[in-house]
Amino acid sequence: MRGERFLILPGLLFLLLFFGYPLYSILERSLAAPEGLTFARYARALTAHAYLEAWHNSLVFALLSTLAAVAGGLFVAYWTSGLPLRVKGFLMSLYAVPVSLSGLVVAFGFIVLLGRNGVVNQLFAALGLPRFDLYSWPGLFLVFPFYNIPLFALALIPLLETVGKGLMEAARASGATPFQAWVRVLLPALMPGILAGGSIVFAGMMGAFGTTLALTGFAKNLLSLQIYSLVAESTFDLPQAAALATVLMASTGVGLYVLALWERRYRR
Amino acid sequence: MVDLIGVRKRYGRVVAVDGVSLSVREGEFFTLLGPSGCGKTTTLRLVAGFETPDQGEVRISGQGVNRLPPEGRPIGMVFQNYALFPNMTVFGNVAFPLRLRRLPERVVRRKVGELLEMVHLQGLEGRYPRELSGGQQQRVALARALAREPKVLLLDEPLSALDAKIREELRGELKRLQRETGLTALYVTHDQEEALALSDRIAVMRDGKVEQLGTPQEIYERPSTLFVARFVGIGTLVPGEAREGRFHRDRPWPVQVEGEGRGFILLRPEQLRPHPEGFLEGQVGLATYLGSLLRLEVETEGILLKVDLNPQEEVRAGDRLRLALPEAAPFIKEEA
Repeated sequence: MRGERFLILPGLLFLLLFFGYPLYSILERSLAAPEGLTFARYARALTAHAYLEAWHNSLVFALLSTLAAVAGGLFVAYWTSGLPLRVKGFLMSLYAVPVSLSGLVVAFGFIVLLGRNGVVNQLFAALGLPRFDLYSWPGLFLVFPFYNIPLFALALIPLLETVGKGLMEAARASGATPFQAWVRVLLPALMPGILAGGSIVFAGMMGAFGTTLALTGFAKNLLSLQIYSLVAESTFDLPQAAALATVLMASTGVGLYVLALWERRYRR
Repeated sequence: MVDLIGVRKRYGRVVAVDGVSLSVREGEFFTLLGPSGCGKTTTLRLVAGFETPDQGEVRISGQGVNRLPPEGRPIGMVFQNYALFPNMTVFGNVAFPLRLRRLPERVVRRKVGELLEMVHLQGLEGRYPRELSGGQQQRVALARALAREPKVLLLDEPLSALDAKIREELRGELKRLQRETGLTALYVTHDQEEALALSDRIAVMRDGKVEQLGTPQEIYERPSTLFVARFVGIGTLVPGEAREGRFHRDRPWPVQVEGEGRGFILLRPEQLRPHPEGFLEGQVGLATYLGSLLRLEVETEGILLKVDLNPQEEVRAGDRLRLALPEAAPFIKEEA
């Protein structure tokens, strides 16, 4: 039994090499200066208007997307968990598809469907309705639930399957309407799962840039896009990118920590 | 108090409840007994309002409730897996139905106190469900079900997730509680011993139909079908023929029966006694000591009879034994 703990070694080594070291090197680069250490890049990251705006946009975008995913995913998960086994199995594999698709493929799919000359807008034009702009903030908000709702639902379905139906019925048999049962029993009971699923979505959204880049280029100011432009474009500045990446990771970390604290309240 | 009138429920091609009619009287402890898949739980869920019948009617206190949701029916329910609200304390769980009725907090507190006293859980108000044993959790569930002051208490295999010892203890308490409150109880179980111990009347179910309905004594002593005879209690079904009020195999047996034609008599192990002039002679194949009794399997005339003796009797496997038969035995006609 004692020997079993060594089984973790290969994994730990791998993590150290491919996660720990890059993380360290990002931190190092963000601070390195010819004559020692400098916080100048952090100062820039936290004062330059463009970066502050990007930071703000990223946080708001990730938070709103997470809320949307939680709201939509809850209902999808609840509905799915009550289906017969076969249908449920099929749907759950279907939910895994968007999660594993490349951001570019998804972006292209949305362009075909909702782009300027997409199916929907041609239909809208024919009906004399205003055109839907996919390349706007609302457009982006419409795209991301495509990943996030299934992702969140997948995280929550197992919990709902074990406790959901029983709790709803117990609440109903106690005299609660379906709405009361949801609000007073099911939601609080699911809270740990909701927060865990929300954490996954939030962390993903803070770093998401592939689909955004494909849809709107650099038109939308997000922290992840700022980093990308500093790494891959003519504005190449790796140390500044490293500083921004650290800010992004720290913000995500704080967000996750708050969610974890919140979750602990429900675990007691 | 609860009336089912020709109730049918099907899921796709499976008929779960196939024309069940029965009436539970006020203050009665009524049990639906049967193996898994016999429709007993669906029947209970039809009364609770979690399912709606395809045909027939469910009435509670004379009022048709087919269209009422569970929260609109005068019921309380206890589930097999307790289904306590994990985010609420014991107090919160029991208070839940009361708070839904918007009773003043002072009244809620008093009533929860009374209910917890009733199920012997005083002092545990502040605990969360996961901090309780299975037996304690089910007591909380019971208190919560009673908090709604239901006309009918519905219990879906409430004891089957518990250890044998706790199960028996809680069984006794359940019966006591039901007696004291005078509540009508509709109980579902697959455990025939539990059904016999608790019930005023039992409906034995099979394939969505009521196979036999009667008091525990009637069900045990006079099963009306082979299924009931096999499902309830232990015994031996001896094939033969009923002729002129007596049971016949290759010769007439000194056992009175009612009925005519081919069929089986049911011999319970406690009705068979060793006797020097007993009618049957056989050899003991197996002797099992069970503490309170000694159970034998006696082979005689091509039949394997189960016989219960006093545990002090010194009988061993291989012994020869003469057995006296009961004067009369239930006769069950061969099924077509």
